[in-house]
Formats: sequence, structure tokens, C-alpha cells
Amino acid sequence: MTAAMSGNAAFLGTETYRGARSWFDSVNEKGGVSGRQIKLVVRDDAYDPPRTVANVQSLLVDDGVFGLFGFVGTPTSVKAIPLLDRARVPGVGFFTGADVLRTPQRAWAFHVRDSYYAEAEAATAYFVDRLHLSRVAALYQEDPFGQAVLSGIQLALQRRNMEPVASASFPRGSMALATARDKLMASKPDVVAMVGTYGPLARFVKIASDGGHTWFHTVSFVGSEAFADELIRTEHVNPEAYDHVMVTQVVPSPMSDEYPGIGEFRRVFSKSFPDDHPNYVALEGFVDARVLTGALERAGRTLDRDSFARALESMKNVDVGIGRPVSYASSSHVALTGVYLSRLGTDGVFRTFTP
Amino acid sequence: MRLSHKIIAAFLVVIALFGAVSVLATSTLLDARMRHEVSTAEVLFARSLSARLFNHVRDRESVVVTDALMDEQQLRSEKIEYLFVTDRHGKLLAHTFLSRIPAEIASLSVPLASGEFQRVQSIHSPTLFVIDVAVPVLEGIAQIGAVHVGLKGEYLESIKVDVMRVTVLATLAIAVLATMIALTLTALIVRPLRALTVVANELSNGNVDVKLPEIQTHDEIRELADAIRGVMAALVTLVGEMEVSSGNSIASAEPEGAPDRAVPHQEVE
Repeated sequence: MTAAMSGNAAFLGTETYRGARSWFDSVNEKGGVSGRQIKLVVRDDAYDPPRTVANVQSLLVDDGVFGLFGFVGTPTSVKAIPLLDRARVPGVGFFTGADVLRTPQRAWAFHVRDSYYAEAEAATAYFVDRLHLSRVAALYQEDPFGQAVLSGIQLALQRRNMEPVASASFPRGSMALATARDKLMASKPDVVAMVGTYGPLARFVKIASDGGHTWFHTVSFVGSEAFADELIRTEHVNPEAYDHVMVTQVVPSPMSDEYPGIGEFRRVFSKSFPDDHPNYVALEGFVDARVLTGALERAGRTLDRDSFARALESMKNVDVGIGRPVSYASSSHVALTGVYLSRLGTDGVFRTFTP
Repeated sequence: MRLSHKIIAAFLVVIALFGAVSVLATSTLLDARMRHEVSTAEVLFARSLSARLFNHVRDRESVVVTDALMDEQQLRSEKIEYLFVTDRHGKLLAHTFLSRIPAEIASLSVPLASGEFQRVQSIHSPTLFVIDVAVPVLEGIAQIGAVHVGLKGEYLESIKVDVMRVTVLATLAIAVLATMIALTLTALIVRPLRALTVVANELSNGNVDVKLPEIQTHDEIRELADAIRGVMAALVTLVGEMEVSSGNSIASAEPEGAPDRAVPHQEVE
């Protein structure tokens, strides 16, 4: 596994690792899969694409790993996937929903979560179809991630014969957002669809919020816990605006009692990492890990990379305990569909809600 | 051997010779062309990489160099087996391998001599079949490393095989076409010749009333037909004179001699 264990996406890499690690720990404790123990070798790429490349190579050549797991981010995955295809090594679990990584389908990349397009569609369906809001403005980070989600928003609006009333962008990591705020808020939006990392987005909510009229939405990649922390403790956003800040999720709430798999997640997570709190990112890492061991079980004792890839593709309606089944096919390398809406509660936690 | 067989055989011999010469010429030309390409285009490519990466090589930034090599390898993956960069001691700094590094690489990693601006080596082992192009990474005149470009031997071979296959197929197609032409051509020559042979045989049997076939062409066959017509006319005259003088008909003398020698025999008598 290579992911951001340091730098400004450290939360995402660390929690993906911990969620996955807690599941592997529990599997290994029960004797592993087909008698084999699972060893998760982790390298830090700090969300820096060249380091992702060097890490993938080093994991393959120096460590001789069987496969790769748990990539975090669009630009890093863009670099890694061609290497997987060239080496004919399976990669499972990408913490990104960018369409560019899914279409056309890559032979050795197996996604678990739903796409950014699906997240944008779910948010738009809620705002436009459910709440009958019509003025959507877009704020996006100037990079492939920003473009990927912006395209999803445009497509979702286009299906409803609409388009963004205004759009503005900002360089990755920049906190100078006053110009973008002036431009977007002048268009009197009902919703600002935002794409970026938690720091700038929390700042934008702070300077643009009008006390609860305008909605602010962003996608799962923001890292809901880090985003909440930034909104409340760094930017001191007015609590009246909380319930108008929405994040679309691709896994159910980690605090949900509805599904047995999520209870199990909390149990193994607190066992492996007693000082950490269950969160959406860790839950996604946990689900990715369950998909991986599910395929290993199917591949059985005679395991090689090809038989493992075929085992993944043979998974149909497999229950991983989160209410929605996992299905792959030789023509579909995305396991899960389903987007969950969450908004910031007065207790400072993003909770899913039913529209 | 029949005439038609001789003509077709002649055609095929020429075509086979032509095909063999083509294959030989193409092979030689391609070899020369590939050697030229390796020693110019690929050396230039290696040099441009070396110029682009020299400061990262100097600072031993293997992550940046690895990333750049991977990008280049991906862009030209049909042609390039590997890229690697060594430091001044010939130690591997960055490379594009994604599995065990082939042992042969060690023998390639020997630093270039000063003043050696390119080195082209070919490796043909069961695990690795490449042409390795190496150029130095220079900082001023100091050699601080080397860039190696491994060209897929199979890629170079496949170009050759493709061209050869086209040449051979074209030769075969021409051979088939030539056989058809030869068959038509021999039919044009042989059919009237056979008809004239029948006439000549009839004449030798003493049948002077045989009908000469119509020859439409204006060539040697027509001349042969005209000559036979002359022979027939002469025979008719001769036979007429003999009938007048002897009162015997040729027909009554016919059974006495061998059928094929009837007329000349009569003439001699």
C-alpha cells in the first residue's frame, strides 16, 4: 500500500490504512485466509504522484508484494494504474471517484466505492428535485480532481436542463478565496458546490455563509471529520449554518447501528487503534479490505495474480455488512454503488440523513 | 517436357529469384536502417533524457528520476523494454523495472570511458533480448552517471518479420498471377500448334482433303499454317499428276504401305 501518511492529505492515508489494518488484524487473528496471513506493507507518498510511482516500484521489486491496495487521491492513482497494468499486478481500493480512472476500464484496477459523478448526481437530485432549488454555483480546485467533480456537477445539472449560475476556481491549497466568494455570491446561489481540500473549503464556508440560507456541498474526498474540525475549531463557522453544510459519502455513517458490518468495523477498529475514533475514511478502508479478503477466499489455496483477478470478477452480490452488496464483472471493475447524504450536526459530526 | 510446362517453369524460376533477391535486399537494408536508427534517434533520445535529468542525477533525487523514466517508458512502451540511470560508479540510481531486475543489467552498467559519447550493446539471453544504448550524464565535462535505453529486440525483429512477410506474400501473389498468365499464353500458342499437328498427321496418313484450322493471329504460327497450306497444295497437285499418269488411285495403293509412311513411300516409288 502506498498512500499519504504525511502532508496535507495525511488524515486520508492514515485512516484508510487504519481501517484496512484493523480488518486484516482480525482476519489474521482467526488464522488468515486459506492458512495465509495477510501482511500490509505501507509506504508514505505524501499525496505526491512521483513518490507514488517510486513506492509502487519499490513494493514490487524490493518487497515482491502480491498486489497493491488502498491508493489515496486522483493524481496519485493516475500515475499508479498504468504501472499495475504493465506489471500485471492487481490493485484494489482507490480513495477517489474520478471517472478518468474508471473509463475506459483498466484491466488490473479494481475500484470499490462509487464515483464522483454519482456523488454529484445524488447531491443535485437532493437540491434540485427534492428541495426545488435552482441556482447552483461551482467552486473548484484547479487540478484533475477539481475538473473531475466539476464535470459531474455539470452533467447532473445538464440532465435537468440547467447549468451552474456561476463558477470560480482557486489554486490547490490556496486560502485566498475572497475574489471567488465575491463572484459566486453575486450570482445569488442557493447552493455552492465545492471541490477541494478541507482547509480552503472550510475557509470559503466561513467567508461566504449568510447564516443558513445558502447550502454548501462537497464530495467524500474532503474527509468529513477533518472538514468538521476545520469548520468548527479553525474557522468558527456560525452554528446556525451547520445544517446547510452537506457532504456526500460513499459508505454509510460509521456510527450507524443499521448494519452488522459497521458494528464489526467499530469493534475491530477500536481494538487495533484504541486512541482513534471511527470515521468515514477508515470505514471505507475497512470495506476495501473486506473486498480484498473476500476475493482471496474465493481464489482459494492455489493463488496467483490472474486467479485473484478472476476471483474478484466472479464476486456477485457479496454481502460485506453495509447494506449494499459488492459485485464485480469482467466488464465492470467498480464494486459498490450508493451515495449517502450527510450534514453537519450541532454536535460537530457529519451525520447521514434520509432526504 | 511440354511447352506449357517449360514456360511456366521459366516464369516461376524468375519469380523465385526475384523474391529471394527482394528478401535479401530488404533484410540487408532494414538491418542497416535499424543500426542507423539506433545510433542516431535512440542515442539522441537518451541524450535528451540525460540533459533533462542531469541535475536530479547529480543530486541523487531517485524519486524524480524514476517518475520521469516511467513516463517516458509508458509513452514509448511498444519500443522500449527498460530505461535506467546509473550514478558515476555504475550503481543503479533509478529504473523502470516492475519485477526482479535482470542480472544482465549489471554487465551493462559499467561506466563509459571518458570521451566515449555513446555505447551500443546487444543482449540476447533467454530472459532479455535488447539493444542497449548508453550515453553519459555530464556535468560540464565530468561524467556523473549514464542513461541506458533498452530497445526491445522483439520490436526490431517484428518490423523485419512484418516487412519480410509482406515481401514473401507479394512474391507468392505474383507467382500465382504469373502462372495464370503463363497458362493463358501457352494456350494461345499450343492450341493452334496442336491443331496443326493434327493436320500434319492427317497429311502423313495421305488424307489431303483435311481442313486447315483458321489461324487469326499474324505471327510464326500463321507462317507455319501457311507453310502447311503450301505443302497441302503441292501434295494435291502431285497426287493429281500421279493419278493421271498411272491411272491408279492413291486410295488403292494406301493399304500396301505403313499408314504413317504412305505418302512419302508413294512419292519415292
